[in-house]
Amino acid sequence: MKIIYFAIIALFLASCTNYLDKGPLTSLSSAQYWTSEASIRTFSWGFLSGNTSTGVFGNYFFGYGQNYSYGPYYENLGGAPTSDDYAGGGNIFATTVPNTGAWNYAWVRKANIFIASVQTATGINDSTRNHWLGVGRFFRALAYELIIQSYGDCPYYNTVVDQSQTALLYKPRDPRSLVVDSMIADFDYAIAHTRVSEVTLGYPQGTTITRDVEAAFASRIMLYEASVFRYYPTVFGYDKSKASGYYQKAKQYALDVINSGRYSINNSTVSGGGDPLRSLFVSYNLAGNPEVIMYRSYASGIVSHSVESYCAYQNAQVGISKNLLDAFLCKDGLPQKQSPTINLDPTTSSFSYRKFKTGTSLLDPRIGSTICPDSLRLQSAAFTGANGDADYALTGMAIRKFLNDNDYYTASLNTNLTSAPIVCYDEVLLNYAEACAEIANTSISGNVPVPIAQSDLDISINKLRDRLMIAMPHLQVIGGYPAVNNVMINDPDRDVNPDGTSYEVPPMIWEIRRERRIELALEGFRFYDLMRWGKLHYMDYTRTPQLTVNRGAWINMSAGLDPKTGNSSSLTYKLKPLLAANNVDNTVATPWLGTTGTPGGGGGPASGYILYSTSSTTITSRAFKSSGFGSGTMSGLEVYLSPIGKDQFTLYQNAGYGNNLTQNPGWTGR
Amino acid sequence: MTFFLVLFTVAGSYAQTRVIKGKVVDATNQPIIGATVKVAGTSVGTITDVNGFYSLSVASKGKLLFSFMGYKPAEEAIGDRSVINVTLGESNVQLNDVVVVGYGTQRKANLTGAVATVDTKVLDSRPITDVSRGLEGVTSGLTITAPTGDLGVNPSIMLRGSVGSLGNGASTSGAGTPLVLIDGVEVPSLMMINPNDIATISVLKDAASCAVYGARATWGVILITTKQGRKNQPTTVDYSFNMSENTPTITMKEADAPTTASFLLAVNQRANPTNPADANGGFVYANAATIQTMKQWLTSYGNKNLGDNIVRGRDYDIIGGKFYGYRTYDPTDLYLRRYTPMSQHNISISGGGEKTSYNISGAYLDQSGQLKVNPDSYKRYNLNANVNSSINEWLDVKLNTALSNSTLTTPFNLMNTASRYNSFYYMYRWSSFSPYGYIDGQPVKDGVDAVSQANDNTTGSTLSRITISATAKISKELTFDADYTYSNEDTQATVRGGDFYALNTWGTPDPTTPSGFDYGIVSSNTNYIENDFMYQRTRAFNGYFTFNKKIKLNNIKIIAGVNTEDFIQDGFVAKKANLILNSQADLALATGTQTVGPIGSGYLTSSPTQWSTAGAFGRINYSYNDKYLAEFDMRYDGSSLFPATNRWAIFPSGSLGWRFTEEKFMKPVTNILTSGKLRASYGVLGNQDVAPNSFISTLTPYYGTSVNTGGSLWYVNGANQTFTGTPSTVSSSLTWEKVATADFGVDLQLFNDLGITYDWYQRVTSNMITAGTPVPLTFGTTAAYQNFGSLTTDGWELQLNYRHIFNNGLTVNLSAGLSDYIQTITKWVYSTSYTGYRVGQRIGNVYGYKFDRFFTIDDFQRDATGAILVSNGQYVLKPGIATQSQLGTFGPGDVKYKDLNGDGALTAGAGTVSDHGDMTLLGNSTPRDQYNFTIGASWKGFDFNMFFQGVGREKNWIGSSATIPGYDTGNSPTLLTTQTSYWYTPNVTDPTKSNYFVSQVNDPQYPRPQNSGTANVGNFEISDKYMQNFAYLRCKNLSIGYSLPKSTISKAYMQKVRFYVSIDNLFTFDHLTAPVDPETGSVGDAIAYGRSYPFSKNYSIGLQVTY
Repeated sequence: MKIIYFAIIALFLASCTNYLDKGPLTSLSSAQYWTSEASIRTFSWGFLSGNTSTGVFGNYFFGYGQNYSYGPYYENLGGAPTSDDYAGGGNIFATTVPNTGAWNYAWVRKANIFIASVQTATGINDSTRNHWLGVGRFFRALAYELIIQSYGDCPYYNTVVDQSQTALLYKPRDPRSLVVDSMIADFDYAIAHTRVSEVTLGYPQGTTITRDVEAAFASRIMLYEASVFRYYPTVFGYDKSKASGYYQKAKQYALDVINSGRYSINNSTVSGGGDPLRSLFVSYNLAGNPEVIMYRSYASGIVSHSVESYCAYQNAQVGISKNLLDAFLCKDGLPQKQSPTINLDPTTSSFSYRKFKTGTSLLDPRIGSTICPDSLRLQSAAFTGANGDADYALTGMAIRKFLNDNDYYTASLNTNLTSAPIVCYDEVLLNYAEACAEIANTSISGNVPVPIAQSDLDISINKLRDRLMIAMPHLQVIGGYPAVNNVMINDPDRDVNPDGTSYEVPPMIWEIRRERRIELALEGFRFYDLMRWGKLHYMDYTRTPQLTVNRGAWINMSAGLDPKTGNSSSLTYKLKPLLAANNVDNTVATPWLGTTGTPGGGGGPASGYILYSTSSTTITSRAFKSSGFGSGTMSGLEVYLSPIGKDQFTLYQNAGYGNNLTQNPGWTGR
Repeated sequence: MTFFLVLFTVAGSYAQTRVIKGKVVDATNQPIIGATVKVAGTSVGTITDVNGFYSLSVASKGKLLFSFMGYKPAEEAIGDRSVINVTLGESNVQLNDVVVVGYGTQRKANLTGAVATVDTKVLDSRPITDVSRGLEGVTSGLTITAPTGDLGVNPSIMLRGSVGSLGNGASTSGAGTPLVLIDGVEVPSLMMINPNDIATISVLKDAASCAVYGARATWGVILITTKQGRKNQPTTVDYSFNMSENTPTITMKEADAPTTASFLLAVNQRANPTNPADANGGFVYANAATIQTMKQWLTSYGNKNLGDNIVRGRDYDIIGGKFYGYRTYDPTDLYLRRYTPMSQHNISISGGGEKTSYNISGAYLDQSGQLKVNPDSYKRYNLNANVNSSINEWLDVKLNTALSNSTLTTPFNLMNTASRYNSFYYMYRWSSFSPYGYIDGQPVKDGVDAVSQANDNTTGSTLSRITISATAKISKELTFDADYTYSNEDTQATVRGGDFYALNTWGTPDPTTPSGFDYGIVSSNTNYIENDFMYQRTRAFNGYFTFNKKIKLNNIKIIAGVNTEDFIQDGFVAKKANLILNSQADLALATGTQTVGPIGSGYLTSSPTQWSTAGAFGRINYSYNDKYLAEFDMRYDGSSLFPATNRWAIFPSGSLGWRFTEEKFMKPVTNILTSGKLRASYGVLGNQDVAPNSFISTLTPYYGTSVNTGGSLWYVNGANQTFTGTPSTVSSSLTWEKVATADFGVDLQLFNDLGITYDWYQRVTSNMITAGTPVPLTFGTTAAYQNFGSLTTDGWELQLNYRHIFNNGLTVNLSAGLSDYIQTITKWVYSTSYTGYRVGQRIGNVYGYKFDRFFTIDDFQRDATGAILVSNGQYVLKPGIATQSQLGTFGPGDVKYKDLNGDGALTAGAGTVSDHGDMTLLGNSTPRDQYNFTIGASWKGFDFNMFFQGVGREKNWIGSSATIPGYDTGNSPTLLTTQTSYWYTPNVTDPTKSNYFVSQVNDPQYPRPQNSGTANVGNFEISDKYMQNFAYLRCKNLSIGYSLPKSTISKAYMQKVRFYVSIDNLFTFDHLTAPVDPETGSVGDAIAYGRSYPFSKNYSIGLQVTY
């Protein structure tokens, strides 16, 4: 009998091994998670997630955001300027070293966990595994790009580090080139192994990470890194010889997309979308659009955004700067200061009086997909509440690119449903053109020829100029210099070196950059372009010609004239510069105007350019200051890399690794 | 085995038999009914009848054994007698003689661990609703806290400390909570147990006593057994009844309208002396002129009952589009009833024959809440039944079933669905001039009307529990016990919302209506029905051998067995908006959006969880001649809360005892010191009490919940794609927390009457799971928890018991307990923080500034006009007076703190140990010197018992509107009657006037009015002056009973009839300046502090009858 008891107990104990396996009920056990492609895919959505409460992966896949958060497509009233495309504002850069915080390795860690988990995942075959390894390595490269864009050199890890691996966690910063080379290895692996399409798996083209998405992003990122290595002065310590190789990679990745034959410039329009360029941004369904490589969809009652509402009739905005307006070529393909078709004197020109409205017909038609051309958007003096003509822009020039004309009166709150392009073919072509030009470029400055092949321009920029309803003359290369219709382009606004005589940017590079600015206007590229070119001082609107960053439209507020239309009218308008320090509602009697570039005070003349910021002290203290790279000194250049928080230095010091962490140039002691 | 049976039968049939008769009585010559009379060494026996008589056929030789619970057993040689009458003396210690310990019982005399037993009489004849409240103050070292008087809520139980570990989130907040086992198995809610069903309670305090229970018993064990039938006992029927009226011990009361409004206006005056903003009493306003009207109102109507009709012009007015109140309301009186009834009925039937015994009990509790309109209530039904049967000579089987059903009913929160903002919060949310009642028959938006319009939320719980167990006597020395318990508690909460219709006195007045207000729906997001369903299932198995052997003077007892237990708690929440009819709230009768989610996402806060444990345990008790005692305990424990690689651990412990009074050299004093024992024990236990998933890496799924909320928000294929977050990090070296307890004790018995037990212990929690050493950002996430840090608890407990029966029958019971402990951090991550966790920091320490006095006008520099100089927004102090500019802006009437370090400025320094500025240690919030004492006596059927409990030292800073006038006046524009003495200059609004800065209140308690927000700032930096002192002494219970003489009642076949009156919380002495009950303690939500369910004083009468 005792034996039976013992046997029962023994049996019972033997069964205990399973008895104690009680997993968590409200979360998933890591050990059991990686067992199918479905679970891998579920994890991967976390990288594409736009959910601001759980973390957004840079701006890579944010699109138009959701709810009341928007991507880089809109400049909020009172916000700091994100580029010279918008009128001025505050300073977006740190001025002192913060107490805490620095690079964000959360995405690196997440990607490394993803890669390691996919490597050992069960329930998938090798090609599936390789696909997801590719996706994982692509994400890792994106994660490092976020870090090096802000901080430059950084410790590089391609494995999941345990917190006990102290020496590894506190290791010195690896050179940026090592990080970029590792990113190239990740991009190359990803592009070689990732699926071309997941349509047969039920995911429409453009909604998931595919080879073309990776190649398009890779060309963007390599162009960025190549520019940094070429243009950043030696004080940053980057190996300039790396640049041409990186331009080659940028070109190659762009060519991967071009040669796939799967994409072309969109020539179709949607209702309310105007031309085919704007149709990309105001479409309710981008599926099948030949130019869209990846896009974010919205659905009523599930995910919706507010970008349209912000641009529509119920919302005021900062508005577009005259600087961007001035960058548009004339219809003949020549810069405004070079073209004979246009009179630039605002007081005499029919173009320049209400220049903006009537003048736009003289410019590159892409002006119409960028800025609302019908009239100036000014705030009526009669306006008091939240509705009516609240659509004013402080500069008078409002964003049109992201607003479907049909939705002007119906776009409401956070319920917008237009699809957001994530990455498009036109950008890839511009990446390609710039990479080709820089490969052909032998100097970073001077009035030098850049012998890019005409064929390279023809498959890139000239495709954009051929777009239906845009139809701009082709860009030619003549002896390494830009031309249209065999007329050489020579923009007098081109950067001037500190010696005051020579040009800083070769004419061909200048024109290719212009094309990028115009085609991709307001899409969030401009700031990063200025950053990589070392041209952040374009945002300093106390400099000439960047004074125009602080300017809006030219208006005449003479009695009886409606500045919106120029016609006789009893309507009056008020200009409302939103300055935190001087938020004064000015009546029509004392408009904030100035005819010259000199900032005026209250009670300016009745006609002139709208000035966003009018107090000279405000301008001096708030305007962004940066030296051009041409000056060669660090002063003012520290903004190109962000400072690392003080707490990190303390931490390294206390852990005995004080020598391993160095502050970014220009930040020590601030 | 059959052989033994045959043997007995044969033995019986061959014996010569004759009949012996007699009577068994107690010391007062009252018959003892149901006493067992048994022939020694046989199974032959009987029990006495209602008159104490017995009759038994016995063999000629041998002894008769007489026994009855509560009496000393007696034995009589049969000899030639045919009548044997016996008087049984009452036993002092008999009930305590055998103590329930883990997996068995032990003679108290031979205990080597720290085990206390509770006299379960404390649970009788008191109007208590649950076991935990009954245990308050009865045993040293046990701390029961219930921060509110809410119905149907479990108090928290702590043993020997307020925290077990400083787990920093890795351990659950309840760390330090002892394991409470009812008949060997935990129940999710002690509220479901009927206190009347309890037979014994043992509290196992030290590691050695708890070791057999392993990792779940880290913080001690409370063993509760329920009443069982006994064999060979006539059927007895017990009935008891208790009816009580409950009244709040203390309630906060708001000051009258002009007093409150003057205060609020004074707060605004601080910002703008000459033209202060109107005082806002919660959507109703007052200014200097209307305060005069308020005063007139009090003169005219203060003593009249105007009913609930609100009259424009008399009670309020709308002036300039603004709502001004004139009338004084007493929200407490409007919300609360003064007396609420509660009744309890208990009935039990028990008895037993030769082979089978049984006990069946039923109980009903009906408790009514204190809300005046639409009262809340708590009802509970209990049904217990157990049967114990000897199948044969070697096998006993037992079935134990329990069914308990409770329903808690509370009104829906129409004012605000967040749980903090319940009716009791709203009782003190608005000022006393915020209106309650009806204007022209339409209610205004007020909390009382919200309660009256609210549907009832109900929370129903049903506990059903069944235990089958068997005991096999394998041999004379060896028995095997096995039991299996299945316990299930279902909880269903129905939340019945609706719309609240009222005059919108919170909105902008509407001049087009006669009342001035619009009538309509004034609640938002309340129109829904929600059903929560949760089940909590426990399954437990125990199987163990007990071996008992005596070899000469050596006594060995070995227990070895296994234990498994698993628990799951899960359920769901279903919610649907837009009821068709407010009055009929049901999922089927709503038309809006419906949502479903896991339990915890709605009204019930428990989240899904599950765990299981398995362990093998053993215990060896050895004693030599009952003099030298030794015990060794061991548990090999496994827990599902740990990863497979780190799941099992061994926890050994041991204890030694020496009954020195058994030594020969003690003989001369044993007539004084009848018994004495020294004990020592040491053991180490692991702590299983960790937050879920502390030891395994998990991924959290994020799924879409509503528009633009949750999930990845990446919309593909018709859905917002769910995604899983980055796996949590778990340190590879993370391991169990270890809790080691050393305990030294002494047990003394003097003159047989006085028992003294003293224990000193030290408990060290080491390997504490704390936030890891910081890692650089390159790690990509915050450091995972690590084992770092130690917490040491040093404490002692003293228990005295005195019981004496005088010759005249007067019985006196006196008992007293005193205990104390301190908890100190003995190892921690390097930190110099003065107030935070660091080595040497004592848990509960409160740091702050020392109050000096109030500033006066003479402290400041003035200009020629008499106005105080101002510089940088600060009043300029005279030279030599320490500046407080770092703490805020201070003027006359504001608090002046002491410049302890004499540097001329009040600062917190760097907040480090070496530089803490003027901060100093003000006190400690841990209850120290907790004590209790009982005075009891009985004589000739009368009994009297008084039970006191108290706390010797406890201080804490409470930032709340209950303690600080002006605390967050934006959200709580109230002033309590206890807060009316403040620095005040009425009617002087010109700062240049000489009397503007001179208080017209003499020696005010509180400083110049200020809205201190919800932070401890300005006048209400943490300081000694406004600390609360929670030391108290309370007469917890007084009961007086009378039992009818047995001679009288036996004619009615009754054994016992007792009437009693009992009063709980009769009187209290405390030092609190805030009008809260001292048992509230200093825990809980500071913002809602004191604005919670009141504690009550209970007057009860009862009846106990035994047939």
